[in-house]
Order: sequence, then C-alpha cells, then structure tokens
Amino acid sequence: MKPKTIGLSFAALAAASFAFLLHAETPSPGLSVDITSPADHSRLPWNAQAPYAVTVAYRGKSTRFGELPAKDVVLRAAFVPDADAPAARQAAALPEALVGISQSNCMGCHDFTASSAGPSFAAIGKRYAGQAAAVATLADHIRNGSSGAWGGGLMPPHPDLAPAQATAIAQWIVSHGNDPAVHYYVGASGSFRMSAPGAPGPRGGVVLSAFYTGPLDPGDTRAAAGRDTVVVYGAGS
Amino acid sequence: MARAPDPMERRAFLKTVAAGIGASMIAPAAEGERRRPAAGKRVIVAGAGITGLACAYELMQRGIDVTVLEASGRYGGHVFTGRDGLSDGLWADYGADHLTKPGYEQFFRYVEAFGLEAVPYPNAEGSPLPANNGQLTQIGGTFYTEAQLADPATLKALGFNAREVAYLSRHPWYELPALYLTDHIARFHDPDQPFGNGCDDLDAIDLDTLYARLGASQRARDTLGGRHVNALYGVWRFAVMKHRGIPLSEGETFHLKGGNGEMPRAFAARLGARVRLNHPITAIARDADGVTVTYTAYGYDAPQTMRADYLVNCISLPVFRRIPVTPPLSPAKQYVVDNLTYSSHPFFVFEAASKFWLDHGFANLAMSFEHPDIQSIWAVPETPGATRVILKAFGPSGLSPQRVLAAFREVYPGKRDTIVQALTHDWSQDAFAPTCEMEPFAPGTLRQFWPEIMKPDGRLYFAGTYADALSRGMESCVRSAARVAKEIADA
Repeated sequence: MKPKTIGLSFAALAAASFAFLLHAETPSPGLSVDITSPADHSRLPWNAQAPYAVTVAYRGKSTRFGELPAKDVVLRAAFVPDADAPAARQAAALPEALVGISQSNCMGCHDFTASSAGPSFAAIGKRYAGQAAAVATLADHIRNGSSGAWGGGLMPPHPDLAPAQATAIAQWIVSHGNDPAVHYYVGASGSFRMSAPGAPGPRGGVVLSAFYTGPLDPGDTRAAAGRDTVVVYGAGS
Repeated sequence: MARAPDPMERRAFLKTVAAGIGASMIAPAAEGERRRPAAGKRVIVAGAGITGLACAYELMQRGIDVTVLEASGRYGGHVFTGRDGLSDGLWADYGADHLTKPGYEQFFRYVEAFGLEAVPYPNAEGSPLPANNGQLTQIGGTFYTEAQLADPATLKALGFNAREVAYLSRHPWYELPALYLTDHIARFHDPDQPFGNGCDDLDAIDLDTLYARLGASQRARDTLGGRHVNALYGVWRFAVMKHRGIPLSEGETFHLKGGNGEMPRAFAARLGARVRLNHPITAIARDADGVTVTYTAYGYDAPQTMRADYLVNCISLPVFRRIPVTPPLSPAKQYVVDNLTYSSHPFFVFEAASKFWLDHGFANLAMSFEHPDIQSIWAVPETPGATRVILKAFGPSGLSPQRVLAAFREVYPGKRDTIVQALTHDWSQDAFAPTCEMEPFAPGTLRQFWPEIMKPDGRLYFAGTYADALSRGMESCVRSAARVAKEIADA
C-alpha cells in the first residue's frame, strides 16, 4: 500500500511541475484547478464559516475573466479525523450527481443544507434516507416537476437533465445529501464551514477539493493540474 | 396554479412604518435622548436591490455616511425592467410586477417625491378585473366566465357546499377566505404581531386544516390553497391587510411608467457614488463598536476592507448566508437565515403585433389555464407610441419561452395569435438575486421566526421583503428599509 501511495505522490508532483513549466512558457491547454484561498495547512476554528476562492483554467479560458462560468466550479469540504494522514489528501472523484446539480439550475432554488426557494438536499436526504424506492420518485420529480411535497412552491421540470443524470442526482441526495462529514459548495468563490460530525479530535481537519464541472473536450478528464486540494486544520473543539 | 385569487401568494403592499413618516422620509427621533448624532454615523448597506437602495437613501437623508456594496454589475436586484429583444421601445418587468392602491403607501411617497408616474395596470399578475370584464378561468378543461362562476348550478357542479354556493353567488371568488376566517380575523386586536391575539394555537396547523375544521368543502380548500401555510400566519396576514385597508382583491394595480426599474434608478441617481457595483462582500467581522467588511472591487483580486458603525443586510438570505460572519450569528438569527423559504418564479414575456384576442371575441386577454407549462396570461397596458403589445404569462422556472408559447397556443380558446417574440429572465440562474418573496411560514415554526426576523443581531441589521409584519412585494422592502434606517439613526 505504501509504495503505491508514494508512487502516486511522485506522479502527482511530476504532473504539477510539468504543468507549472508549461504555464511559464504558454498557458496550459489542459484543465488546471487552483484553490487560491484558504492557504494550504492553514488553521480555522471548528464551525467557523470562511471564504474560499478557486481559479479554473481550461483550454486557454479562465474563471478569472468570466470565460468559464463561476458555477462550473464545485468545492467539496470533507472532514478528516487525521489531517496529516497521507490518505487525507487523496481526494475521491467528484460524484457525477454534482456535475448535474451545478450544470442545471438546481442551485437557483436549492442549497445543500439550508432552505431557499426549495428544501435543502440535506432535508430531502433525511426524509428519504434508506428508502430505495424514493430514488425513482425523486428522479421523476427532477425530470418532470412536482408540487405539494414540501410547501407551496413548485418544482419545475428539467428536460435538460437526461434520465440517467436525474437518477444519479436522486441517488446522491438519498444516500449522501445528509452526510454530516462532507459538504459541497457551488461557485468559484463563496464560503465553507469547518464542520465536523460529532466532536473532532486534535488532529482533525477539513480537506477542500475543487472541481471543474463544465463541458470537456473529447478525451479530457476532470483530473486537473494545480493546487486543487488543500488541508485546513481545525482549531478548538 | 391559480395565483391571482390567492391572497397568500399575491405580491404588493402597506401602511407606513410609523404614522409620522413624511413624503420623503422617516420621523426624527425624540430630542434630548443621549445617543450619537445620526450625522456622525457610518453605515454599510449590503446589496443594492430595492431594499438596499431605499435604506441607503433614508440613511443619507439623515446625514449618515453610507456606502452600498453590490455584488452584481447592476442595481435593482429582483426589480428589473428589460428592453432587449423587444421592438417599438417596449419594455417588460421581469421581476417585481406591480404596485397596489391601497397597500403601497410608503412606495407611493417615493413615486411622488421623485416625480415618477404610476400607470394603471389592471389584471396585473392575474389580479381581479372589474366585474365581468372578460376574465376566463379554465377548470376541468372548460373555460368559465366570471358570471358562470357565480352561477349556483355551476358552483354546485364544481363541488362547493351549499354555504359556499350561496356565498360565491353573491361574492367574487377572491373573497372566499372571508366566509371562513372573519371571526378569527376579528380577534386580532394587535395586528403588529401574531401572538397574543387569541389564535396562538393555530401555529400548530396549516390553513387548509383550519378551513377543513370550519366546514370548507374539498373544492373550496383546493381554491383557497392553504396547504403547508401556517394557519396563525395566514390569519394574521389577513388581519394586517384588513387593518391597513387592503381588500381581498388586493386593491387596484399599477406599474411605473417606463417600468418598475425606474424606482431603483431614481434611488441610485440620488445616491451617486455611494453605490458601488461589482463590489461583492466576502466576509463580515463585527465587534462591540462596529463592523469590518471585506470586499473585492471589480476585476481586482486583492481583498479590501471597510469599517463602519453598522451594517444593514439587504441581500436575500439564501445569498447572504454564503458570506462568513465572525463571530457567528446568534443561533436564533442563524435559524431564520437558514430556514426562511422564498418563492422564485419567472415571467414569460410575449410581444404581439396586435391585440389579436379582440378579433376572437374576447374583451380582455385575462385567462388562467391548467396546462403544466403555462398557468395564466394577461396583457400589459400599451406603451404610448407603440402599436405592438406586451403579454405576460406565468410558467415554471427553467422552461424556454418558446415552450411556454407553444403551451399557450395549445390552450388558448381563440384563433391564431399574432405573437412574434417570446422572452424570459431565468432568475434561477441569477447568482445574486435568485429569489422573489418569502413563502408563508410552515406550521409549527412561527415562534422560531417571529419576532426574530425583525431584530438586529448586534450591529448587523436586516431589511428585506421578509422583515415586515406584512411581506407584500416592494412595499415591504421599502418599509423595512425605512424602519431599519430609523432604528440606526435613533440608536
């Protein structure tokens, strides 16, 4: 296990250096994602809300100049019990559901953990937790719209989302929407919360991982060069 | 979604903060109180929507040093008049649609003070037209005129009970709440707040349950639409409307000549360089003496800070909560910020070459439909000098205007229309002003919202459509703005 981790680190390091060198010459045409704030290894109090900023560049275009939409950036804040453990930095891939959520207009009416025009994904996840049949119902509501399940508001139809995308979103909401250890934020800048499920230990922290969810050219993947993962240590408890 | 007859959903509104509010402003504080003079204070207003602009204007009138920081590149927020894509100099309001008389007393003070002109706009958002003026309602696939909807045989066939049939044969449908709630409304001796008026137990149930208890038929309950609406909030709302002289029809409807965007424009013109666009706030820190706001200026990466004695948040709460506040808000205020639910819906705007419906035997284009892609349509008063007309329709968010037009053409009971353009503004894609008004509170939650929703948290004040005893369109925005400006001036 250990040699593999080292191997991966070297590969990542080499890729990062290569991207940096390329950038020094001409802008890299590939995907680069940089968390510019907060700083890696910074420290913030538990439960504090703090600003974040991400710059994404892809095929010569950048979020800095509005050439890539700000909503094509997703930030994940995941609690880790040991922020210094090598595994903490190995960010899992972004669930496909988050690509659909950020690319459609979901965020105009829904937030992850609080109400806006619609219920939060956490509230929906909580209501339907453990109900396998709920996925099909929710996917149908996403695709075709619904009303009356939560309040007076109207869930509009989403013909822009393919059935498989709607199902992926519904599946994610039911199984992970209410996960207290992992939170998502959409936008190139905004704020995240230093959340821990239960009492965090002294080595606990939050790993921030940023992703680009916009359309990709054929053959490209969402794996990005740049500082797309940072660790923030929790202070106090 | 029969929005028009449902007073819980209609926008508009009210009487003023304090009886002493003058044409352009708010009453000065009583003399002799020990406090810092208003003129020496410095205030940051977050957000240049109608609330933020009105609040900054009121503060400026009091000699207070005020700066408005707006995240987007335009002011006005959800008050937005659009011209792109329309011919003949036509325009359309894509956000706040209309004003009412009575109900917009504070707003009309600004209309007069700024020399703006309010134009009658009958049937705005489907609001009631004068009796038998051509309104058509689709029920079970059939279109009914107002006269037909007052016919006892029709009412009985639709499923209303005997008491409702008798009432609706003498009253318009929008007055139906009065049949059941008059006694409850009469109990509200203090309409300034919901509790202590002998109805506190209603907090636990929804309005639909109350109507059912009072003997309403299922048909009436479907029309009244009280599901998920806190019954105490619902009854209190009617009581405040009654207290402020607003009828169940919601009053006569108007819009501003040139579009409702003229109002934010008039405020902004007077505020000048105090309004900074594309200056998003990224963090708020506060202490006992004041607030420090971190923001960025357009196109510059380096954060800047600004210090003030107070901050007024005029950003809608789902957007505001993305901004870190240190130390955090009190748990009670955080509950409000995280749990207030808003409505958000688009208008679909059609440009027609003529008033085609007149050729089809309809006196008005004032129709509500059962189609999932279009709920209602109404005509906007003509723009002087234009031969073309603007129609507005309600449909679900996220649909293309062409799809909504196709739905209209499916259900319209006349012949071929002359619509040549279909547009919308998709608020669900708007990063800074995605929401419209607050939704009614859910059953069992009113104590968590009221009166916390009106209170400041330290030196952080809150204004917006929700921060008034009657949330009702732009009036509750400017009323809450004036109230907060006065509170800060008097602090």
